[in-house]
Amino acid sequence: MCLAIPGKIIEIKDEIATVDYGSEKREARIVDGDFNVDDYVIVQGKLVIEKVPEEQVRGWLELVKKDGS
Amino acid sequence: MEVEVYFLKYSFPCAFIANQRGVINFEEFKRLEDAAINNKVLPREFLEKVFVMAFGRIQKLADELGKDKWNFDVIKEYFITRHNDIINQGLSSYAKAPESLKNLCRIHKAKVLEIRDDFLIVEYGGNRKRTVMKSLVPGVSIGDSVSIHYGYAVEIL
Repeated sequence: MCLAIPGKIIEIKDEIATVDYGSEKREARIVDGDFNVDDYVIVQGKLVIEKVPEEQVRGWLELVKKDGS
Repeated sequence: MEVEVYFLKYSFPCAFIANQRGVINFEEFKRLEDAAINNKVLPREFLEKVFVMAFGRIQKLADELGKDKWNFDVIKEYFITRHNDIINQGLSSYAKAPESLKNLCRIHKAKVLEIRDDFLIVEYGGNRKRTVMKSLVPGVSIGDSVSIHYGYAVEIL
């Protein structure tokens, strides 16, 4: 299943980030951009696409929990 | 391009949220992905069910324009103009959405700076950069203008 929630980068090796979602960890590619360990990010299709400021993480979690599209 | 394919290329990038929410299962998600990348026409009823909120708004726009909701111009106007207006006005589910989510959800016009493997590095909104997937626009070249939605380039403009 897709994880459309922010995960935390716990390791970056070469261009591959390990992203921790609490329940599981996934690997995703960093092609470009300023991403660092401890950043919360959104991953789509195994690509790190965006950084999420820590204060916005809760908002993401609340929004994607609701029904609708 | 068939209107169903055009609609799906724009809407597919947010299907990962629908999957996360449980609106669609992973099998349905993969079906959407395959159709978006390989230009397959999916049944309108299926698309309307998956993207029910979008179609509520598209129907409203179609009524305003006096056209059918599946008219190409209606779908195009929705994604190119209305979609961002709705986000910016904070309507419906966007009311409480954090800015980073709204920014990913907006459709931006971007310029392709670099192509690396299956990814494009693009610049949009002045000097913001994002890496997006190339899969929906396989014929893209450096310097092209594209629309982007979440982690995908959607259309060469």
